[in-house]
Amino acid sequence: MSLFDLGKICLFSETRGQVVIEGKPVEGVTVIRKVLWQNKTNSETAITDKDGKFHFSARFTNSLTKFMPVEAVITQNIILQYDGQEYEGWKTNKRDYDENSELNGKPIQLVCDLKNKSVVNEEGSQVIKGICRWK
Amino acid sequence: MPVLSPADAAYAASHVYNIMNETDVELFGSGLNSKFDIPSSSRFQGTAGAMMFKYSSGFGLAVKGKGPYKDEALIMVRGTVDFLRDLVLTDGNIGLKRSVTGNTVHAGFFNVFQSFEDDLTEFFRGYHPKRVHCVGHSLGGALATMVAEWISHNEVSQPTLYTFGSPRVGFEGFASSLTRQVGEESIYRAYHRTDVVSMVPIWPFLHVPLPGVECFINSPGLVPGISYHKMDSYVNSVSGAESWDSLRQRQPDMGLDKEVENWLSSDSLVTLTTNTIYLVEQALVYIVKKILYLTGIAFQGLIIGGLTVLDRLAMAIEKAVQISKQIGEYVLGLIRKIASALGIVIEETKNITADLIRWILRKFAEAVYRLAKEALRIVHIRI
Repeated sequence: MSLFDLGKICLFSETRGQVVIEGKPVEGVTVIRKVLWQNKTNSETAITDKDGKFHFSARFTNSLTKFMPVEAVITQNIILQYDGQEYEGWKTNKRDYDENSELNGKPIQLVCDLKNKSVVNEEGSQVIKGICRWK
Repeated sequence: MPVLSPADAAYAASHVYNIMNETDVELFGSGLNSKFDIPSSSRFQGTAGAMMFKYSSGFGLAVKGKGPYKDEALIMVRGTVDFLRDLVLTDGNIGLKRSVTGNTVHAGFFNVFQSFEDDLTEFFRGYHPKRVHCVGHSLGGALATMVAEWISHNEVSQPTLYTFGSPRVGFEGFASSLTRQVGEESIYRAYHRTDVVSMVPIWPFLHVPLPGVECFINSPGLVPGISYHKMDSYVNSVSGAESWDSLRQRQPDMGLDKEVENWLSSDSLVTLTTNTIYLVEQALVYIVKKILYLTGIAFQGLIIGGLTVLDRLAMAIEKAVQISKQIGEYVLGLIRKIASALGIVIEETKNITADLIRWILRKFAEAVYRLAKEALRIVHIRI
């Protein structure tokens, strides 16, 4: 661990995903990944490629908050925009500062079928809602 | 009348954080769905923080029971980031207010409580459940304690209180009157031995139940810290417990005191780390306890005459030092440690005055405040 890792907090782990409609890849979907922490928001955008795939790097910050008696609540959203419609892909609160804590240590690899119904999944204190699925 | 199991109470205290920024109550999770209805209207907002940091967000859920919990309600309150400012960043001048029963409480906590008091009134309008379960972690625990007082005082219902790593809420009058109102058997205060938040604010703030037996959970480690304050660690600690009765036990008297004694009498230099901050606080608690034990000086009437807690504390310590040589040594030890942490050189003095004590405590608090302010600045820039 270098000095620069001091107080390193993962706000959103690396996110890979594929947007499909009934299993078929969809190109040109606008994917917005948002994070809200300590009253500040950050938003990134990606467009799906011909395989329907999108990618966001892990997002970090450094803060002494990590060493304070404060519960981690990092609010995450992934919104999919296609053909004038908006879909809620992923909505959760990241409850730990570690990388890949969203899915209990597993990397985030999503398949988001725009025909999916939005469902709620629970993994420990992590509650995730949206149309995206993962293994 | 069923009591929430330790696992259910911990689930509630942990998951209520999920509705802090999100209005979608489905993110609370489904763990209590067979016992309580959680409609979107159950989310209430609150305002926390002081000055420019003040902002409004989801503070909790007020829900009605069903099945085995029919005719009962559940109020869940979350902790907050701003809690840090109120407790750790305070310059020792903790503001005091009168609670709904007229007892002395932490002004910061009470202000947050008041910001959602109207929502409670609205929720209970024309609705009188037989029992209201009040649950919270950290500041949420302090707020749940105030909710329990409010429910009992306004004769809304009979509260049962469950807190995890809660700070102290008020003075002796508050703690004993709430324990009388609610009943010792209906207060479950779970805390880890090394959870720093359960150690603040320092005396004369006291925990509920008073008198009564808390749910003390032994946690490893030598110094008080934050990892055992996390709600996840409480979930792990209590989820296996069959009942609250199996968790009820007093904290053994030894342990941290011995560590603090050793720390105060050692000559080692210290730097301003989180551990030092907490040890200084712990040492203050220790000294105050010693003062009470050795000299019988009670810190009464702290709210009188515009004097702050820090003023009163300094005056009482000065008086105690004159009476007891042992306390004098501990206080000197503490002053040296703080000076070392802050890089201040102080002349060797045999004369410990209230002014010196107040000055060094204020310097210490200012340094902690600067440290935390820096932390916030980093947060604001980097994200």
